[in-house]
Amino acid sequence: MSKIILLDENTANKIAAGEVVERPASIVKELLENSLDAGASVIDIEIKGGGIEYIRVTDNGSGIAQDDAEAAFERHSTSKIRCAEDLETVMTMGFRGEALASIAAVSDIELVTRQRGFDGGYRINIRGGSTVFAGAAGSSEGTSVTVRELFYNTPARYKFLKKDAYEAGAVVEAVISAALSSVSVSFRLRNNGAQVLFTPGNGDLRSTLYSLFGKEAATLSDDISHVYEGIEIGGIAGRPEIARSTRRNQYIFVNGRPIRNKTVTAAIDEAYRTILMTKKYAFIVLKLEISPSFVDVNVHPAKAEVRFSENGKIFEAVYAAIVKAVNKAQDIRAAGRTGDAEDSENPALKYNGSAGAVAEDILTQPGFTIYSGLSAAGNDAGSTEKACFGSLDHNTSAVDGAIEAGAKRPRISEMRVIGQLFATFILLEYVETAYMIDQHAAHERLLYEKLRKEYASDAMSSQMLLEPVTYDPPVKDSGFIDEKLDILNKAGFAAEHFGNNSYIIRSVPSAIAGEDPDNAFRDAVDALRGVFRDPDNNGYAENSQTGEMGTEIAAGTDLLLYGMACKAAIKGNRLLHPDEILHLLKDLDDYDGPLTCPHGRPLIMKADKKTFEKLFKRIL
Amino acid sequence: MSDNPSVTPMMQQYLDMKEHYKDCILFFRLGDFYEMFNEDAVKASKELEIALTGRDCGLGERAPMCGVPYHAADTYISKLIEKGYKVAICEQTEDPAMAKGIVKREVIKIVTPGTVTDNSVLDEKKNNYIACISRTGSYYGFAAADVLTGEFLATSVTYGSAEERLLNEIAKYMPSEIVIPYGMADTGLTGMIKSRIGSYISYMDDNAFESEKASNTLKEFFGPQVESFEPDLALYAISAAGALITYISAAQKTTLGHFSAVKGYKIEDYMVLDQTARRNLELTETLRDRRRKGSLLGVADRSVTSMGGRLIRKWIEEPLLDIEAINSRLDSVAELKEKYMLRMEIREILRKIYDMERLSGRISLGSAQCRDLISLRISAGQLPFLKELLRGCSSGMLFDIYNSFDALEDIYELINSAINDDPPLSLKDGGIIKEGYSEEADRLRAAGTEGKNWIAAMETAEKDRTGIRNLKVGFNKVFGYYIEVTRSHLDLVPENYIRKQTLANCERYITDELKKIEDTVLHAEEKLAALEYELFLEVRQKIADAAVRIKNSAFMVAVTDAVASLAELADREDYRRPDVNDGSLIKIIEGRHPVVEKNIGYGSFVPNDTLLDNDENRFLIITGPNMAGKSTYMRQTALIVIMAQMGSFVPAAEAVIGVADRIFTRVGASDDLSSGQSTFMVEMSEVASIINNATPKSLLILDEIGRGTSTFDGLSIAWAVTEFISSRDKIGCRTLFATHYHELTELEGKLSGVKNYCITVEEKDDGIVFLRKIIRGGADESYGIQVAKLAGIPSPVTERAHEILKILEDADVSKRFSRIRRGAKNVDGQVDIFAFMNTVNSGSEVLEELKNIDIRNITPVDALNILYSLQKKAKKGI
Repeated sequence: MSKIILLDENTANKIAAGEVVERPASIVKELLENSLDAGASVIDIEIKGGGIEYIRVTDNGSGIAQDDAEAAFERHSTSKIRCAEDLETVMTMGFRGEALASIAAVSDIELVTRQRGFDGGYRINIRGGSTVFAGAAGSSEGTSVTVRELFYNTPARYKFLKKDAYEAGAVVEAVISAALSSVSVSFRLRNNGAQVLFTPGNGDLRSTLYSLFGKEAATLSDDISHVYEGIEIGGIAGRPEIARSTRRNQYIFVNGRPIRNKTVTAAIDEAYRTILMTKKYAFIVLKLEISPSFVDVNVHPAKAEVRFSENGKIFEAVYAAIVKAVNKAQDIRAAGRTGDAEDSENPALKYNGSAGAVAEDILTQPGFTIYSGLSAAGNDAGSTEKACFGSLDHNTSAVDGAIEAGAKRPRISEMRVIGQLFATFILLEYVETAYMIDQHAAHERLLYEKLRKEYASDAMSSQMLLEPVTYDPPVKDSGFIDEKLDILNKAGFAAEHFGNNSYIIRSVPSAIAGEDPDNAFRDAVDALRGVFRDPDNNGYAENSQTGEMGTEIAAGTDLLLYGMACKAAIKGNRLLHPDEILHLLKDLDDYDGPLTCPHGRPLIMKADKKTFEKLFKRIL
Repeated sequence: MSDNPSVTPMMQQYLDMKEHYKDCILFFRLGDFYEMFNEDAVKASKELEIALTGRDCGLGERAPMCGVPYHAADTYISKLIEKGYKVAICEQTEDPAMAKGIVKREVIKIVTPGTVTDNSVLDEKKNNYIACISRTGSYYGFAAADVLTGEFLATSVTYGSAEERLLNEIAKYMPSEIVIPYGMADTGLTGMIKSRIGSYISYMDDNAFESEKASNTLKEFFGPQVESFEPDLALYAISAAGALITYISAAQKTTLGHFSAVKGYKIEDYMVLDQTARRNLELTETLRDRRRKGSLLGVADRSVTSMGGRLIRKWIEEPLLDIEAINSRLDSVAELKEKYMLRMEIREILRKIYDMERLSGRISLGSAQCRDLISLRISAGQLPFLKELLRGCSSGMLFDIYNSFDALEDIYELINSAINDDPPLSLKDGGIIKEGYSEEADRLRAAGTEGKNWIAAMETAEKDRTGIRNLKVGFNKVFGYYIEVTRSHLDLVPENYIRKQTLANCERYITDELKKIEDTVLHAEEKLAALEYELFLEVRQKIADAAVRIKNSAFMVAVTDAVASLAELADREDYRRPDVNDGSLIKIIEGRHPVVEKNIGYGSFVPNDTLLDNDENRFLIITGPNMAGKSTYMRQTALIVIMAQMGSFVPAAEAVIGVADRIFTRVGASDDLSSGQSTFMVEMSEVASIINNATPKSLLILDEIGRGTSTFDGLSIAWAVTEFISSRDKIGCRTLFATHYHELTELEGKLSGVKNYCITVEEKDDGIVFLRKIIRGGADESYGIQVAKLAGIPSPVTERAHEILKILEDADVSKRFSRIRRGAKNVDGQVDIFAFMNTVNSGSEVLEELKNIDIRNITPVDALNILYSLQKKAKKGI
């Protein structure tokens, strides 16, 4: 009695489907590969219900002959290789001959195709593995595959699918990937009727980037072009200004196929290490062309991972390519920058073949990453501000050199004060670690907390002016000011209506007693409206948000108080008397809150002894 | 109405004024309201749904009255305009406070459907035209203008069936109002305008149309430029143009600075499309519900500014005939299609530009507010960036735009230096003019501020002087500025304090000095507000003087937008560049219908080729079942020709377009019940019009001729029309003719230039499948019953229909002989249906074959095979 039976074709397909057809995105990926192999110049994709309900991929490629159309749905059928040896030289993308058969087993799939130069088209409809319809049909040239009701007959797999939005997102990523790889093909994607993507397909990678990611990605980036021992590398390397907080926007292609590979990723990270803040990842599209015999693509069922026969070479090639691209840009920027002498030197290409080697420049040391990152990232203070303002991940911008509140750290009172550096930073030492405090950021944070407490308990102290001052706002603002008079009064401005469109101010908050009263009042009103005028920035940060979010009203008041704190705090580039330093440190010691300025900039950074020793090559 | 001594003076003033504006609803300004009286009030109350009251006017019974508030007047005026009324606006022209006796009043503006300037009633992507017709003998002059954009065109209709041609030209503009001389009031033409176009008709005295007078009016208005008309055209067009300007000036009562020229043109400068063709091809509106979505315009318009949108519409409505001009547009479209990022950047900038055309119009007409100036400033601010982007362009049109682009930097500077960035809505309350623009204004402002500062400083001064530590200076709307002293310190109050107000815990005082300063402050504020208003008017006037420059720049922006829009269209929808030339060949490979293909999902539309010329392929007869796509095929050919001649890329893999001077369509059966004509009549008049007006360079789309009457009549007419049109002596133009008369397929080979095509259908056991491919050859079946089945007619009905069909076919001569015909040889000479009757019983292919079999020399197997094949043929009826 045999217990082991041979599974029928259909069941076998269903099982195989599990590997190849994980989710709508994998189906889309397979269908796109087929379309590209057919030489399409336009590929139109439409999905509904996350792709679970409906997927349609239509191309204007060469179409399929009727006999071939039927055979295509048989397992292991393919036009792309003839025998195992062909695997060595396979240049087309879809080759394992599993895709269509697998998909047909677990869905309702319809293929309509018409070959170039033929008048008639052909339609075949297979549901759960059995043919429902096969016959002539009208069609334009090319092929259109529609997949409906994915996994309708395999409830177990169906359950594993995520929500529509997630699946749709995965499909979008698959299409983006294909579009970046094939820039001479125009991709269109609709999700639930709305157009989501459109690439021009004009052969230019930058145009494709523009259409997918916007103007910044297309303009704040540099071309990659490098050849190393038979490995050709191309693509576009994003500048630090457009770095992201995840690896999502790193697209790697090998011979046109999108892949993940640890070696390549490591090379990218290393190449960018000196110019990016940690926890930030470069925006990059990297394309490798390498003889197929050096790449094994059959590693992963969905062909997402590949193995290189010579990892070392790959690493070197990628690293060099990126550094070359980025440096060209650095030169140009260095020429336009004011002040920073060290930065204008090229970090030398002293790469000597092993990952993690140290370049001989102060800029490349981890402990100081944050500073070089800030200056290399922006051409002016404005853009550095941008890196902090309103960034979603401001919490993680407290870089690894910074100290997280709550983490085990020594008390400031236990540290030894070394002195003041650049009239801006206070240097301290404790055991085997050096600590640096940004005097302005620290003081600002302390003041801000103090003001908030006072405001909340209605205890803001205000100072009466020697002479009351009148303030004439722009006509349209009077209404707004009248509304906010209560808040302004509470904050320490004793102001009331004084004639048509005029106000009389008798007192101002003590914290900003040194400021020009009507400017201060005006700034306060602006802050309540969400407009913050940063004195360091000379411009506006419209509707900027403080690090702590509340309701809209709270945000206005917070902004007002923040503005006061910022104005009143000790500025950078100001020499402090030792007493002032001690006073500040004492207050900081007592302070218990987040170790960032209200905008997310770190207050304290550290660098340990080893870092210094490495710098001086005392250790390696 | 005679002077009745007991009528109140105001009512008298009203009645006098109403005399002059009998055909309008008179809005009579009384305080904060516009009031209407008597019949006007009754009408308005009904139309606007506002309360009808009355007012004593000295005549015993109260006069009916209703009114609307001054600040909300625009909405009500617009409503009345939409309902077809004219509104005359009568304002108080002097300050009521100064007036002796009744306040002087004057009508400052007449609002008519063609002269509205209120944005809320206007479609921003469509011009609002007012037109004018003049008649001299049997020839007509025609002028059209858009009051807000300053466009002004004129032409004449001097030959042919003038009325028809005039109506078609009017239909191109679809004006909201037409001005006609009183003398033409009761003509048939006016009646037809009312029924076919639907414009509001205004009448004017005949003498405004008199050519000498009209000519003088134009000369006064535009200067000597009017000589630029060609001598013939001149006369009739000038009449209409002069009268139109007179009418508009009278209505607007301002100078029309943005009207820079009157452009004379010939109707034949553009492809002639009559009203039927425009509607049938659904160029700018769908046939069924007259909506933009679903028309060619709906698909083709990708513009991002209002001006660009209006221009695209015009380009669609006026396809060109000049090859150079067409290619010039195509060159620019091609350039922007290829340069993806440049196009994206251009569109980004265009998005920030407001409707400069209409803004300049409003500024010229004196109705622009502060916000309008700011919109203009913002738009002008973008122009330098736009110009810079155009720098690298090599194609003619864009290159020329770059070279002649006036970036209006001075206008930008003027507004930027004068008007506050965020000005208030009202013009009379100040807050308009920026600091630094006017010394006087700054002085007054400072005076106001100084005064207030002095008063604030008074607080400290008085505190010191009197020793009252908690003395305060305050302000309230009723008493103005005051000095406030609490009860506890009343004893310290000095002599010069004058008590003004007593409150529970304090007293409020003023002093002479305080009052004086307060007066100065208030006085300064008043003066400032008045000065700011004057300055605003000045700035606005300066800009109005530059109206023509603004209009020109606006036009450059519009052209850039239109070109970018066509490039975007071509890129998104996979259109290709057509090869447009003066030849006669129309060759389209893989053509698609631009609107239908968007409705059915990418890739589902089956493309088809078209081959038409003035030679061997000039008359294409298309047969096949209904619903299969014949009409779509013909329409797509026409649309592709129109798109090519408007300078757009086309939905095809390849297209060679020999220019067409007109496109005629005879499509669809519609009972034009309103004009009392039946389907057949309508059809016949359309065919008549075609036959009378077509030229060899025309393109004809004929969808079913001969329906709506008995079969033989219809077939005969269709046949005769085919002969006539295809004959090179008569017309010989390129024609697509869809018909259900299969008999007509006989004509290929008989008449030169005729070719048969049919739409493919695959017959299956349970019905038919439309393959939608057009191929050579005649269809032999119309599959009418199968189509009926597809449409849902139940089986008992269709089965019975099949039976009846069989019977009819056997008896039907035409069906039988056509089967025979396919086997017979070509007959020379005239095609004569009845001659074939004689060949019905002989010449059958089966019989022939049977006769020729050599029985002795075939095997049994052969015999069976032959028998099988003969039987097959016999079943098919050969």
